Amino acid sequence: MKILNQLTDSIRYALLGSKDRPYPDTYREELEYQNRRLTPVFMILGLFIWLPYIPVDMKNFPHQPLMPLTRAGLSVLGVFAVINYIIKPWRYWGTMIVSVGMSYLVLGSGFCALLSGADSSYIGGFIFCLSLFALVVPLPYWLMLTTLTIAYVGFFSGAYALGIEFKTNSQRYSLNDLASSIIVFNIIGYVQHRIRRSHYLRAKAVEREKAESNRLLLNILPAKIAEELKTQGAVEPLFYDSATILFTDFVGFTEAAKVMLPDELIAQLNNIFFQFDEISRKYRIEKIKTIGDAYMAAGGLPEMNNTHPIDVCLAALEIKRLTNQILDLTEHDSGSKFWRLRIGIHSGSVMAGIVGQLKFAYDIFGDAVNVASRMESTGLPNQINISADTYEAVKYFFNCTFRGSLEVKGRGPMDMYLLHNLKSKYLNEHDAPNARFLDIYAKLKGGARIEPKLIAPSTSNGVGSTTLPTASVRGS
Amino acid sequence: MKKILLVDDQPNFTTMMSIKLKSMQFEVFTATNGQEGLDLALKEIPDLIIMDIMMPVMDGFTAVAELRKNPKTANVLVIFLSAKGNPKDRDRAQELKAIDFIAKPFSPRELVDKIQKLIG
Repeated sequence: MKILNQLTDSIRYALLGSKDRPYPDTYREELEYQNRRLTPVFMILGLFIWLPYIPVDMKNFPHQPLMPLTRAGLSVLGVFAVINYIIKPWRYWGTMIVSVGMSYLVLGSGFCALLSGADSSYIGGFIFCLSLFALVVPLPYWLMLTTLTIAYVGFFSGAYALGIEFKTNSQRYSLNDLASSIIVFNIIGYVQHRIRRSHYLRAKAVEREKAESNRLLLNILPAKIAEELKTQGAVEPLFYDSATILFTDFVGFTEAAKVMLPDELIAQLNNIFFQFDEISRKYRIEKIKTIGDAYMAAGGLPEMNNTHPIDVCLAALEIKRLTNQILDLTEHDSGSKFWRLRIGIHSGSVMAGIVGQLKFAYDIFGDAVNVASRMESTGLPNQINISADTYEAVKYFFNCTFRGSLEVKGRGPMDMYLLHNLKSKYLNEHDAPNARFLDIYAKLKGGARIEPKLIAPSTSNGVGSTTLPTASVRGS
Repeated sequence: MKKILLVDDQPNFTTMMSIKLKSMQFEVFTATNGQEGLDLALKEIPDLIIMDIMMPVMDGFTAVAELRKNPKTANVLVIFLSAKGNPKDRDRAQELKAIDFIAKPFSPRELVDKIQKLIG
């Protein structure tokens, strides 16, 4: 039953190939794949195709016992092919089976043609086998060339050695056919080989381009969105009732642009944003875009979670720490104070989706985005300014200072807080989140809501079972 | 005019949906928690209720369970809307004869289409 299933699979494989198979890295492996598809057919042909010729040979040439033996030899090879097909002893077992079988077929038919005294119908059979070898089977070109050369040279040398004279018209006609086939099969065989190879190279190039475009798509879009776009061709805008948005902006960047060389400025900005990207990745928040010297990211999308206000605050603290280090360095090197950062955070509902037809961008929209931007613009240099909504979500975990109710353009007065650091009870001796914090974080990830009973000391068993990045969160 | 009750503690959601649904000639009522939603439902007897599950004061399941006890609202159409997509919640929604259970984040357009098909 197993063998029957294997045979059915093989026939399906030979006829239909392997769906969505990646092209192999080398042309030789591609030929191997094509040969493997042909092996079931060749095994059946090898086993049976020459058997009906044996009685004909015996009747026509009863004094040539080598002829039926040569015919039977192909069936013996067929048996070996089946064994090889089952145990697959070589890496290129498909090429091996096809090349050995086909070489035998060609050389054997040539040998039989010689034994028949260059009978025109046997020469016809020989030419037919040569045509199969030259035009049909996907073997390496050097192998085709070698076998054809051996077959032609062998036949003509043999004919000469055996003193065969091409006396009859039909023999001469067949001889002409054979001579023509040398040119035809070599040229067409070569062209066939080039076509096969160029098809492989083009398909491989397309595959590489596709992989590259997928990689670029993943750079531009979140993985989940990119996948949806690829599989469904469109992405439905989604409503997120809770997300946390972060904006950063460099204070005095415009002044910096006046005194720094543009390429130097862009290089520094690129370097900083690269590190922001790494921080975003670390805290599983989504970088949305950069606008000039502003950086925008959001937590809680495209995959919803309960921890996004905390994730974004932790990321903001690390961004702040990083820019303080950069500021120290640039101040030391050039006395410039350009890399002072304002960070604003707000939590609220947003719509998220893809915008653009030719240039895709995953973007978020809604009043919460505007408020987050206002939190940044009304913030202070080297400080993280958070809204009351974000504060309510993180107040149990972070030290914050109430700034007061400040006027926000288009919104009127809004309560704002400065985010300083993770509370000391959630820090270990290395200033990293401790087991107690990780335990609460794990519960939040599991769906718990932020409320006093969750963060009460009794709820902590001291065992952190989460994968929160072990950020070093330091106070300012 | 068909009546729709939106119950969610996120005012942005109820505002956004009510603007759209009103433009489609529905009469829309909004509430920000289960208790408020329950009171409004008993008063207005809506044709459809879009109910969030996790809300302050009273959650969506409790509110709908109360509605089912009242003959006036026992058969009102309910769609639950929640970030909680676990099978237990789905089972509970089925027990309460909810017509649908939509997991957040969701597509507002799809929700509007669904409403249109149900009572439009």
